[in-house]
Amino acid sequence: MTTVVSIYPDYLEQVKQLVAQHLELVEEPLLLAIYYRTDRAENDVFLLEVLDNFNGSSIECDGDLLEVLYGSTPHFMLRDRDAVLQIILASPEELLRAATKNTSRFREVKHALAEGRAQKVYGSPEGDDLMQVFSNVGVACMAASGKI
Amino acid sequence: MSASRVWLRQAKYDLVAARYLAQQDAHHFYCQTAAKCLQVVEKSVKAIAAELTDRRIVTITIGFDHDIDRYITAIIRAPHRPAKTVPHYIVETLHHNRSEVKAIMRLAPHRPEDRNKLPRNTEYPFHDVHGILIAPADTGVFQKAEIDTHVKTASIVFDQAQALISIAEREPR
Repeated sequence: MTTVVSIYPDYLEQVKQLVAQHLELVEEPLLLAIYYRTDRAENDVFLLEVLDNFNGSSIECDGDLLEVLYGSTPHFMLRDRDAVLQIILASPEELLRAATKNTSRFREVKHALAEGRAQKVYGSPEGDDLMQVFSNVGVACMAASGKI
Repeated sequence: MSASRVWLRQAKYDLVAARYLAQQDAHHFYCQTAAKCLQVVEKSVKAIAAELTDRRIVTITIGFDHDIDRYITAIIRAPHRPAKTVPHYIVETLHHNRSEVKAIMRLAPHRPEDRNKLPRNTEYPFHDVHGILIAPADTGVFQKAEIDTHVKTASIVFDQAQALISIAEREPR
């Protein structure tokens, strides 16, 4: 029987501190950060970050949003030794493409938001605008306006 | 700013220059375009090497030579890391692009084995198939299709290096 050690949103403060660090990375400015839990890896910490000037598809060829795994470090301690921090990284264009294709990693964030196991921890004005993609109405509106 | 970002910043403007030269569509600029593409690739790989050295995943002394194959060799021999981790992405990306990178880096000027058979390169006079000394900027030495391929390769390698360094920087520190 698997023991669920990480219960969302236990890592919220650590996630906020990490996002604050990432705000200092100016070459690919952070637009949106969402902390969430998935069904496929309940003990892992998931963080979606949407970055300007980023090209995740240049290194991830599976057609979905780029997913990077980070182990427990002194600066982000994970209680379960098998747990990992999973950061999903995308540009606004990549996020919109994933929304249009309704990819697996996009659906995870969307469902987490719908089911109350996700929260936005940072949003610039453009990032806040991007939150629309996670609603069906929002995707339709963005398609109508030519954004996707 | 980290050393990797400084290498990457210069690579970025080398790429801007390569694209500008390519847009001129002038045959005497083809060799300069190729030379700039070569610089983009070299600096992008060195940026990755600098990031990995900074993180103590490998230990590579970044020099001023053009032989980046040794950097790639060292990096892809780093200890195996789990899938979807930063080192894994770096190794997979460099491995995947290795043949394209080698093709473009062959154009860098280097000491020839035979001084009477200087090979084609982007900067110095060399011997054509008839043994006649010609300049890289001469008509027909480089073709547009080849240059377009080099610009595309340089763009891809730069984008990849930028993405890899970005994900490396996001590790909690």
